[in-house]
Amino acid sequence: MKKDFLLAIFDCEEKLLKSAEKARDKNMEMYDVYTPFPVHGLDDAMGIKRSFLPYVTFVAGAVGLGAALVLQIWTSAVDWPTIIGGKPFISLPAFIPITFEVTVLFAAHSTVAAFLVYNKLFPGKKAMIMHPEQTCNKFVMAFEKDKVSVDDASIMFKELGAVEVVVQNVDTKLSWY
Amino acid sequence: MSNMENNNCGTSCGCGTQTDGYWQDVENKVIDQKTLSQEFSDTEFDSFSVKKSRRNFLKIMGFSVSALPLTGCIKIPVKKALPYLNKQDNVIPGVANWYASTFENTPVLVKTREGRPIKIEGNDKSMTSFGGANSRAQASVLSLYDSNRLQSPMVEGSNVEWEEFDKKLKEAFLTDTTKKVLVTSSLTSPTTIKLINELKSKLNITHIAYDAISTSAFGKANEKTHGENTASEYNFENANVVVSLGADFLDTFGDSVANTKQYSRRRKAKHALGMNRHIQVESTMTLTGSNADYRYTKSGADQRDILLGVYAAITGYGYVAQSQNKDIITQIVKELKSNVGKSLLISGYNDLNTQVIVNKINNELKNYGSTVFVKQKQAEVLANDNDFANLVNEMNAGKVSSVILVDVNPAYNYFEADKFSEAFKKVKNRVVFTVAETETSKLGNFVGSMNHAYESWSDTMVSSSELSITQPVIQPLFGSRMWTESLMSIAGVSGSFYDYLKSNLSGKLNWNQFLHDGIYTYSNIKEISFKASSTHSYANEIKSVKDGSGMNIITYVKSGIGNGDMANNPFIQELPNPVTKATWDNYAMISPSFAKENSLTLGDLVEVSNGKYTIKLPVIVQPGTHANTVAVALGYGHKVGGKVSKNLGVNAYPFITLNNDFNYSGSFGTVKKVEGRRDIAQTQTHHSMEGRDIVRETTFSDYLKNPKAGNQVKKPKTVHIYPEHDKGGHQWAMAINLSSCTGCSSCIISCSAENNVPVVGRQEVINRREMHWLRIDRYYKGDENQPEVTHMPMLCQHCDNAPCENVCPVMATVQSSDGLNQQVYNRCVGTRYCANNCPYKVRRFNWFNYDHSDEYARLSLNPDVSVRTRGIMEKCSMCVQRIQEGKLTAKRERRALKDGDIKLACQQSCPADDGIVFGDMNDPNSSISKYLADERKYVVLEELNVQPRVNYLTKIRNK
Amino acid sequence: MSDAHVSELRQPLITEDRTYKQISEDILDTLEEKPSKAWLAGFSISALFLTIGFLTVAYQVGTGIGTWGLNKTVGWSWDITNFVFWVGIGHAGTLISAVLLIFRQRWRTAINRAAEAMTIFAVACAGIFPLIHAGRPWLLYWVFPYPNTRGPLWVNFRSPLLWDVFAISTYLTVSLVFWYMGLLPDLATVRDRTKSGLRRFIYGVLSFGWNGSNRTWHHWEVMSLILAGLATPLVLSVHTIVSMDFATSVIPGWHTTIFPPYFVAGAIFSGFAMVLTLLIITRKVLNWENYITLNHIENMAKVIVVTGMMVGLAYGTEFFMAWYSGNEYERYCFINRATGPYWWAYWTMVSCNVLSPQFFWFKKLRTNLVFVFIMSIIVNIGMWFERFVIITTSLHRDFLPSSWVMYSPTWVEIWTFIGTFGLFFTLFFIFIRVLPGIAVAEVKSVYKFARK
Repeated sequence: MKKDFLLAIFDCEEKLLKSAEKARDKNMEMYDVYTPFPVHGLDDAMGIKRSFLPYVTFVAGAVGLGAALVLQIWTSAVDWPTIIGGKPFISLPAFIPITFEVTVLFAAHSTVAAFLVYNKLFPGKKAMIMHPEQTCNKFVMAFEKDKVSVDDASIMFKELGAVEVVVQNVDTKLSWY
Repeated sequence: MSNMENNNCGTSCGCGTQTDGYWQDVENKVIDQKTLSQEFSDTEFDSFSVKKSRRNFLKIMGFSVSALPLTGCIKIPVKKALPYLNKQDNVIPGVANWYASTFENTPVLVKTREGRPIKIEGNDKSMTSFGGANSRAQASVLSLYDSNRLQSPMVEGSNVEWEEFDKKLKEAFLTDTTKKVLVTSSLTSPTTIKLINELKSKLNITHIAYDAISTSAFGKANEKTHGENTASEYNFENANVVVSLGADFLDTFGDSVANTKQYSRRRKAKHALGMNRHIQVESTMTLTGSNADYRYTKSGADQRDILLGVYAAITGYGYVAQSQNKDIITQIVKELKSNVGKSLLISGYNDLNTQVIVNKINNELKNYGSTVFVKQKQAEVLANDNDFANLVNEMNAGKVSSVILVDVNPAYNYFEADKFSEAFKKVKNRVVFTVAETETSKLGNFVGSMNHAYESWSDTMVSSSELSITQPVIQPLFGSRMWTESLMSIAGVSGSFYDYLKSNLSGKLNWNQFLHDGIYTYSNIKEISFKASSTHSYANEIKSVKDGSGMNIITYVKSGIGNGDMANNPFIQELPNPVTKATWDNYAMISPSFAKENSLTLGDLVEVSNGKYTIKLPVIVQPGTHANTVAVALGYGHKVGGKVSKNLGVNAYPFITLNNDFNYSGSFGTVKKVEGRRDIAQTQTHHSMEGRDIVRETTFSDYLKNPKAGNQVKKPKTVHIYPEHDKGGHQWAMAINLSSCTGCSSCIISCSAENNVPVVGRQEVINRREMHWLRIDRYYKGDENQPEVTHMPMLCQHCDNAPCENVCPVMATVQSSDGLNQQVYNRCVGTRYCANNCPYKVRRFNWFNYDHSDEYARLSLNPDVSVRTRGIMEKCSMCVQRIQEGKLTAKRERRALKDGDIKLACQQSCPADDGIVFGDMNDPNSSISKYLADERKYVVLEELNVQPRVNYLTKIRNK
Repeated sequence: MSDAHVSELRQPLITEDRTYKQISEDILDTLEEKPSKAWLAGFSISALFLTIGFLTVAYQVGTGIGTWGLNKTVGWSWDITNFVFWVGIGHAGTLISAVLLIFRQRWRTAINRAAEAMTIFAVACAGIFPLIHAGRPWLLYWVFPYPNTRGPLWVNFRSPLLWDVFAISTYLTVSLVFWYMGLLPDLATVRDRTKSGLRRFIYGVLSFGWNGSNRTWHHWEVMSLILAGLATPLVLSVHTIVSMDFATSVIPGWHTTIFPPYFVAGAIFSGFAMVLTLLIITRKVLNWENYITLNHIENMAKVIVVTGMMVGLAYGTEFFMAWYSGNEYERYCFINRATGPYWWAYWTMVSCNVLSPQFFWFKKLRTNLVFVFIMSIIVNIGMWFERFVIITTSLHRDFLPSSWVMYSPTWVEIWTFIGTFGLFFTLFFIFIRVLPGIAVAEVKSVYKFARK
């Protein structure tokens, strides 16, 4: 569904940051901010909570570790025990390298998967673009139109150095190219 | 049909009743006359030239009852297949039948599977060979299947049927009134000789024998000293001291298998009579010399000097030896005199005077009757080199109109081959019986394709008292026939040679027993005593010998290759020479010093010439060769032959000289370095042990003081960081006695034949990719002119903590519960990691798909062992198929496995006495357990703690 | 930009003044322009070698390993040498992007993209050798422990080769996603800049709908840190495990405990050298001097001196241990390396890896592009020989002198190796044509570093 947004557009991160903090102090509820590169400090300004990804990594890693050990022990000591080099069926020291690799494998890929899923990123997704240059050289702060007073906001952001403040109608629905 | 034939197996296995069983089979199947006659019409009995009639049928049956294995042949088109529903007892698919036979002078057992001979083993019933077999015998099964064999008889170069061949040959013979000569090699077959003697009168033909590798002087010498032209026999087991002047008695001189058995018994430290002492004086390094306790590198002249010196010291003959030989003479005399009646002096020189002197010395030392014998022979025709030389002259002079050459190839191996060929061409009827086309058969106008030994009937005196059967084990593969039958047909003698043989022997012995055992022993053979009065004249003869100037060009017999008749056998060609480790070629052996002077290195081409004859070939710098000597192996450089032998190496026969007897070291000439190189395919190129603890050795005196001598290396404490697996049940182990092992290498071919190990060819050996599962490492030590040599058989050590197993990603090599290191061919992906990680480097990789496509050669493959494809690893399996067979047999017979039930291929063929011992080390009474308890026992690279199952016993030199 | 923060101590990472728009243009315009002559030449040469290499491998797989120079004693030589060589090179990328990220080395931003790409291509080249060196490559899938109808037969988890399988595949896939996640923002930038509809569509699909939302950036940064944290031990483990192929064996010269650190140091050493080789060309061809600055070159040169000396230390330690252990086989092995028939290989290795890097002590030399370029190649020659020396000279003369042999490669082995260079450069040339060769977003984020 299409929505009207108020966009404050900046051309450098410092101004953006100031405005973001101002907006937060005024309890203006930000929809999102679009930047060509991660701007540090913006998270606090927007009040974004710490990412949950590390937990995913930990759990996935633990699962990988367990899976690797179980696979190795079960195959070499339970399902088909074979005498190799006079070593015991469960040769733990020899199992460590693979256990480690599988742990990393699970952890890394699960983290990435979680990241993509949570942020609804997938091949062929149509990007929701507020301003054509937001991935290049423009910093865009977006508010849902009906949650802010357009006039006050535009005046305020102009003062804070926004190159322009516009109201734009954008389709927020997930869609393919 | 296969099934009916197989029936026959019975009697020759000693179980007579199958005959009836056979009849019933046929009757019950109600085969009408026509089909029946067809059955036996084509291939089955042709070779025995029997008219096909219902009547002869009986006779044939009688015969084929014992001939039976030959009927198992795959080549016979199956006319009438009888289902195995009513199979007979003695051919079980997957179970081998064994038949006693003889190859050359060795009693053998031929293993056949579903009618195909696939493996040769020594006949352990023989009191001569005691179950040993040399490399030629081991390889012979491949010659049987040689696809280069003649396909049919030929008249004037065109293939004909036997009937026509016989007809034409008869005519030619009857019309011929002038001199007819039959030439064979030396014969020891009583029946054959009897036959020939009968035919002589019938055909008024004279018979002479010709050997390319001649020992005629030995017989002649015995004639002088004992009054009987026959070869001496030896008993090395009785000899405390063996002194050999250039006699390679462990490899190419005399009955090497028997010699090795007797000799190796006395190399055992624990033998009741103690260990023997072996002194070898020779000008080139022979296998025998490499085993000697004292070995001296001496020129031919020096050897004569030493012989006379010893002779003088023992008989009081007036002779002053050269100063450089004095010490050696003193040592030899001392040893001989202190062992009167228990010593043995032999010389390898085919020279009458030398041999007479040797006999005299042995007589003076009372060795006759103890270590050396001259005995009455049942029958014997010995070659006389002069006879053949005269024949050549007579042919030249046109005095001979018919010559029958049986399995001899003078056009290749007579020292004046060209002269022979010219002379032979002048003969009207040139009859040649041969297995495969040869230089000589090319010249014949009647060429008879001859059966291989394993397709033939005969008998052989393998010693003065032991008769060994030769019986066919397969239907003639090609359109060939026994030469004896060809002779019979020329002479118009009816019947088959089989009948002749049987009737000739039946009186003397129990025929079926003989067929079964393969051996019959005559009792109380008369021994002939020494008669000669004075022998000084012969000594004077030797004294007067003047050597030519320049390098002494010695032609020698190479183990396996022999006189070259088996040169087309790939097994033989790829067998590393026990001393040089070279394969696929002959070469000029020169001394390190000569090499330095003439800046020659391995593979450089030289021109060897005696003025009359010149050859170009690569050199091998061979430690232990006399500086004035160049040695070239006989048996190479065939101009006619199969794809293996043709134009391989160069022919050295023309270097032989003749003075009454062939002299193999009579040529003198030059060795010149010439342009170019030829790589020599050696399986080992580094010859020093680098002072490493690989072969542990000691001297006999030290051993007597302390049996652990030489084996007291500071042992690393072996620690197991994890619990060991259960070692209950059978636990296989092997022990190799380095004192018994002479390095003869027959185990290598035995192993290859048993396990279908591919032959890879000269270039691949040069690329260091030979496939032998079992190799024999040969190391030199000390002075390069008189080096000490050690031979060490090296095979998969079947480690309990095998490094190869740990590294295989797919578990293609694992440990069996009974202690074998197993290679799982079809699981192997070929990373070669296991081979890299093998400290003994015994694993072999299939770099290509090796050729098994020859439709005949592939018949010799062992069906119990899978043929490996390209890209996978293989190695010694401890003949797991034999272990399995042994276990199953014991199980079927509801009994426990006995020690000795299982014999590995290498172990079985080993001519040495207990050179290789195998068994269950959990069985306290097994011989292996005793070996493992021996103070001399050690394992190679013990410090790696890989826990090998193959153990070695220290080498002891009697110094 | 008057209000930018200022540093007197450090000079900026991007040398000239630029606007964010210009930065995008500098880096991304190449993707839109027609390929230059230099690019075309380089690409077609690489492609040619790739083709010859491919045909050679086809012939070898069709005929058998016998087409190589290996024998009963030397079961590995060029094949595994090349494998370790490429894997080693494949380490620098991850190190630069992961380790330097963790250590907040901001100069990395300009080079990590190319370095990671190189990593992936190098590992791809490396992966070829374990595959084709097998006697029956068509059965190599047996190394994966999946339930099968052959028993099921499982694999041998004690085999270092199997560890390799897991290590290499983990490393390859993880580096791949790490690299691609880094690409997302830049792909989005390309998508939004480009005029052509087709390109917009392709990059649109590839960029996963990235729109620079700060919520995504937030998770993206956390993820990058996590991946970096995982990749760092991973990259160390990979070469450790590769070194265990030798260290866990019993062969003198292989059976050595210092191999893991020794190999890792060597990997960084060769990896940085290869990065230098590539970037010195790329910055010239694509005029990226402002982004890939002398500063970068110098830093990497320093890394090379350090790792080069670590490798040298390892060489020394090996010899000391060979003598100190009193193990005669070990001793002979190392004497044989330095003085045996392969002495020339050993001394090539020492002079390339230990002696030549010492020149980098001089600022003049390590800032001289031509010199650094030549050095980067010398170093990799040296590192190839290191692997050759370790593998071949240890094998050709081991315990029993009876099986000592010599080894020499055949044309098949040589062309297979050249072929992998063909593959590597082909991929790299394609990469700089179709993907942002420098991490645009990250460069922008450090643009203001130490800038007035």
